[in-house]
Amino acid sequence: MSMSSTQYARMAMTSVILVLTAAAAATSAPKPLPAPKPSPAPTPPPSATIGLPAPQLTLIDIDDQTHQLSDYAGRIVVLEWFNAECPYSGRRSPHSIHSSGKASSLRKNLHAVDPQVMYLIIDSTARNHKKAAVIAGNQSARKSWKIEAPILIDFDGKVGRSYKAQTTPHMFVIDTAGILRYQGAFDDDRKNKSGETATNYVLEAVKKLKVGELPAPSNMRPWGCGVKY
Amino acid sequence: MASVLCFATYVVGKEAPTRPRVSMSVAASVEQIAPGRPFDVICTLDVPTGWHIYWKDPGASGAATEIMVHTPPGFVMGPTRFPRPKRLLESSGVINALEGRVHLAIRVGPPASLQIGQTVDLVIKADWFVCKEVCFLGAEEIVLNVRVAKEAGQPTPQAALLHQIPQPIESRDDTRAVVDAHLLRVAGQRDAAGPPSFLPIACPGVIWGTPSVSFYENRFVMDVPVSYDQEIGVQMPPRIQGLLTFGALDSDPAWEIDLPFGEQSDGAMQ
Repeated sequence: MSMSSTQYARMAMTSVILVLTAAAAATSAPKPLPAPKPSPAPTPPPSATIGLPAPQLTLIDIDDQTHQLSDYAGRIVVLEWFNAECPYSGRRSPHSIHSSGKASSLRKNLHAVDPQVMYLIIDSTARNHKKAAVIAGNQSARKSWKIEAPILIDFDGKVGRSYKAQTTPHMFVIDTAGILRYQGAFDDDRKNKSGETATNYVLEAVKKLKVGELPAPSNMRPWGCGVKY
Repeated sequence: MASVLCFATYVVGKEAPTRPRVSMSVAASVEQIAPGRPFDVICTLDVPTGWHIYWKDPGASGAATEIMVHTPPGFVMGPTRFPRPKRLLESSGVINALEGRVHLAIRVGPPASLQIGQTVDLVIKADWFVCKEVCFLGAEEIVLNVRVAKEAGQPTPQAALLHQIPQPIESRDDTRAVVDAHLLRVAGQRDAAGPPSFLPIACPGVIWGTPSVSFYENRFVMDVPVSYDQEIGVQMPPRIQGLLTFGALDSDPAWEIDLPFGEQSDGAMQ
């Protein structure tokens, strides 16, 4: 697992403190140690793992509505990482899942399998843009591609990082109990050549969940533009 | 139109990211081809400074560069051979990038039935995904005319570029790679460029561990733990594919490894 510069700095600081503490202990008379204070067990940072509860999220969409994962407890939730600038995602291109209509077809097919499926789109590439521009851009993409799902803005990228979202698109399927069941590629047709014969991993995962089975595959390497955190 | 303009305004902001021009050229490895005698098609992509395209395994994000050669019936095509990529750390993870002048090659096997004196059109199409802060899809198609002679002609100047592309490890002197259900082991002569490493090509279900390298005088043994998760895997039988690399630079030596997973090798190695 990689560490941020802040984590490195903290580790370096901790090391210095430990060294200084050790030096002080070696040169001064021993003193009775204070009783250790009870502390909670360290909790690992939330990250998305198949078979474990999906990381919580609280984000505001481009209509200023707040969405929490817990709002959709009891429903299957599909997350799609999105970037209006990416030719595999929101920019007009033959390979774009939105401008080609593949994303809207997926939503239609998902609702045929389970009308209660909640589909959320998340944009984690907002860090280098002004908030108003990000919202305007996503509103424009929504209008251009007739996107019906809420588009959530992950301004600081925390949610994207907690899910380890790498690409746009990068898909996640969460079951009715809040357990992550699929992560990865949108389908097996990055170049949009297979048409109806393409396998959409998200749809297949939801179909499996609806009959009480685990998705297989549960983890397919995502393709697309890198998420620019 | 208004929405498109608005979208474009958001996309580009004040600093419009213009589509970079990736130029493509193609050449055969020989001046003339001969019936039944394999040759190489070399495709060169010039990527503008600061931009990159992607290796056959793009890494954490991106999309592989693809070369397709359309030929008359009877020709047999090999896989696209790629140069060693540069490993770049992006915010989404490590990617395998190709920068600058990129040479890719495809082995072409012409049928023995070709007529002497005829000209064959090979239609070479490349697709790439070129990125910097933003990404663009690109493609180009070039028709390469090759003349058929009784004997293959002299190597073209571009044939020398093939030496810049990693060769199969079987062609490296005194080097062997074997894999069983748990371990990829590569053993051979050391290289002055630096210590060996392994750059795997992702295969669904194939899970790699951290390589360990031992040195014995002028030889090395590299062990890479590997396992296969059938629940994740979708490709059967899986293959172990990647590059044996020496040194850290993308210009340092590299060799292709391509082995079936789980098959016991024919012998032990030192």
